[in-house]
Amino acid sequence: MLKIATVCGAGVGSSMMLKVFAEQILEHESVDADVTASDISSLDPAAYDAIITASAFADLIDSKATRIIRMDNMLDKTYLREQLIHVISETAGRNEG
Amino acid sequence: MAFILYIINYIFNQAVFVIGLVIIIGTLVQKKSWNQIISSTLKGMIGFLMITTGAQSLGMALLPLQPMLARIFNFSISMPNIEKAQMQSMEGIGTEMALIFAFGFAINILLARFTRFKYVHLSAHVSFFYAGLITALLKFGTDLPTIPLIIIGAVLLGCYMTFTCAYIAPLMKNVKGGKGFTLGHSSSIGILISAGIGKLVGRGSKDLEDLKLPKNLNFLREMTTALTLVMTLLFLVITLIAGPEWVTTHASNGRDIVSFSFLSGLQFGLWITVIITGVRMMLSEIIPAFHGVAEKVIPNATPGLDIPLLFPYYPTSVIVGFLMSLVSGLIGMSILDLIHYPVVVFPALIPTFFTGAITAIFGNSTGGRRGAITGSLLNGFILIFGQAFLLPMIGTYEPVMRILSETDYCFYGPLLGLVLKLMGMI
Repeated sequence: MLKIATVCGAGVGSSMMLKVFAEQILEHESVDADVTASDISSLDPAAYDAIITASAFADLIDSKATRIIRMDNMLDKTYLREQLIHVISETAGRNEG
Repeated sequence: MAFILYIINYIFNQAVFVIGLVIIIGTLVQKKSWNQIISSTLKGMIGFLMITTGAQSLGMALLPLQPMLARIFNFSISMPNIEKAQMQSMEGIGTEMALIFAFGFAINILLARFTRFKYVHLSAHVSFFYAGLITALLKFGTDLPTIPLIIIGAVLLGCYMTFTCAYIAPLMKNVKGGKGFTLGHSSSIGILISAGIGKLVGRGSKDLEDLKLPKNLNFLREMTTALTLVMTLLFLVITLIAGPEWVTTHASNGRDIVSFSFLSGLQFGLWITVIITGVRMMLSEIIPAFHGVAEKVIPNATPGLDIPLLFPYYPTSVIVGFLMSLVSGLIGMSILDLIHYPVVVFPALIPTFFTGAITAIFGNSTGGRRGAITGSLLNGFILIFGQAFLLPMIGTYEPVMRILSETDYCFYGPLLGLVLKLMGMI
């Protein structure tokens, strides 16, 4: 089970959007994942395998361990797909090892 | 028959159950499994209760402002009854609000399917609170029975959703990153005005984004932080003007103004966080359903999305627009107090941030710096004066509108209220 957070300032607007996109992609790849929309204030980066957010917020997230996917263009699903597939293969590697 | 009566009397008159039903339908549309449906529905219902509870408590946290403002501007206002403020938030409109929210979306979809306005409004948090505004105006402004009220409300909401997306669409070509979608957001009238004004005043004005703000101002984009800070400062300024000693004896229960202001700011941050968390929990399941329905029914439609999608391209405009709208909001508040307007109004901060940011972006798109500043200043004035007109019209929805009334609420809300009043006279 992959755990992913989408993040924005209030956790209602663009993070909700990113959540929908990420869920569509993950479903298409038939990956079992849980995607949560969160606001930046209450985010615990360590609780997730990956975080998807805009660059301005990526700079505010203090986490070395969690992979952060920076979305400069939030509607760029192709880029999001590439990045998510990276995350999927990485976590798969980790879980088997 | 008894069963049907039970449903009508005990289920449909509890707004939270209606929200639950809407979520169940939403999750069924997405073909979720039964355990996911149970968990989504319960979380969504708790989210809805968080919104109503948060709105009530926030109204309470702001009560001490009233006697202080009354003292500063030297007029007597009737002090609101605290229990009343607590009891009545959203009282009696929740059920119609939830149904208008669901049917309004259906009408938006139908319009997209059968007319040339192929726009699907996907910002559910906007349409949800707009449904509340329409419900409140109809409920407290007319004697309509429940069923016609829901039908009229849903048509109004559906048209609002479709046409705001439609008139923003042509403006999207002027902004970076605006390809392939339009905005479905309650700042639409502010955007329209700002882009228009930009054309008028902005000849030869430089792009606002050439101005680079220091990166550490980014923390203002963090809702909780920005709101708590601004509210604390607002309380500090007001308590200073009202007179520290007077405040300690009359408004703050014996606290000195520094700790009192800081506590009030924190309280404000707390309840806003509760409300926003509630919105997130409630809509987490409904929004994906909206997307699913839209893609099935009208795959070729243009989606109306939320405004923060544009913020990454315009970091300077976001901060400048917020501050400009806040300045004009505070000026407007002082003007209202000076003329002794019977309702105390203060800038609604979340709307000030979002609509200020987006009006600056669109003002900049047609009129550079001058356009951005004029547009977002104007937006702040619409917010504050519109809110002042709106609050007396919406009964128990008032606490929610004090914190969430964005430009469209402040502009179209009083207009609709006025129309209803005139119709009532006929």
